Amino acid sequence: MDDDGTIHNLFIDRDGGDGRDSMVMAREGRLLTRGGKPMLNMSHGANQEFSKAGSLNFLSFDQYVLDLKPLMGPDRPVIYKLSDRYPHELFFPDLNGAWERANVRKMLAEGHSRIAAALYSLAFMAMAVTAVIGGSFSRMGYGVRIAVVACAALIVRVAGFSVQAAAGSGPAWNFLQYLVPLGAGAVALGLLFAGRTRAPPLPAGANA
Amino acid sequence: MSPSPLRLQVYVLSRFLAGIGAALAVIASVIVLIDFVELSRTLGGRQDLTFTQLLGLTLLKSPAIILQLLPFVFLFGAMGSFVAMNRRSELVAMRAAGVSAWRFILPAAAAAVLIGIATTTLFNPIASALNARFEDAQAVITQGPRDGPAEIWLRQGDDRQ
Repeated sequence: MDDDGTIHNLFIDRDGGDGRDSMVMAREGRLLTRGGKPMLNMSHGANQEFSKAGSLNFLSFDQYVLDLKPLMGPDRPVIYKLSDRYPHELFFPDLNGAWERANVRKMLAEGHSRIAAALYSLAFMAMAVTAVIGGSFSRMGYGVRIAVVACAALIVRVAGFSVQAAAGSGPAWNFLQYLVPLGAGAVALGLLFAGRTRAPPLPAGANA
Repeated sequence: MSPSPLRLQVYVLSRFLAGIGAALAVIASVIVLIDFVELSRTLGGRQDLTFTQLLGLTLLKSPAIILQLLPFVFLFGAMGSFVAMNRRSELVAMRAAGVSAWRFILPAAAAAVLIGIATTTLFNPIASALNARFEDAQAVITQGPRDGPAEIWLRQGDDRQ
């Protein structure tokens, strides 16, 4: 290629798929930019291409411009989803980006939800213990109690997601993201120890 | 020789961690299986994707979902371990011996807190990075050569006619 971007005796083979290959031969081509798009301006050549019907189309040209833009990779900036971002990117976003500026609240809410997620493990552990040893002994097993606690855990988690969505529009709600699991854990432990310390009712006439 | 005062806590902790491990194995297996089937359905139609590549994509995607369900791993793991101890009357024996409930809750609670912190600080960034790699790979597969331009081959000749 010459210093001015001129290419001599060009041969271009394009795989169009479905057997529709095309070949371009040109005596000379020059790389240039037109309307912000990269182009290859070829002169004194011919284009051969199979049509859909299978016949060979032959076109000779004095000048033929090939748009190179479709051959370039996508030039859009890659924007990762909130769930794909590192915690420090969520709490300290680069506000030079337009997307980051528009979604800074959602990023903050996602960051807080990541931290609050650790509290759900603790809360659910407390709920599990309460389900097993929180009530009185039962020869029939603890199936119903476990099912109730599993449903309660599901409701707590869904509430957590709802609060996260609310915090995406108002950062003041972020404290609730911690309050939901902490509250669930506190209620579970409260039920556990309240059940253990509560004295059984005395039978009628016991004091008589 | 008197037994170690921490023997009971260590035992409860080991049962709790075993329960967590079992629950994690079950839930992770289900998630990987569902993800694999889903990716096979959406991307598997492309003939250039092998079984190994599909499995690799699945393993990139699954950790993020597993982390989302980690609290339920604790829920079912803790339930499983405490139900098992209750069935063997171990909890009854502990309570009859006057052991405070805190002594068999605290090891599990400490493990939950430590694993939760490790999840937030260590596993979460790893899962995010893997999920980002999955998104990139999926974009290349779905929007790359198929929807992009056809292959092109360009050659510059010498000066001979």
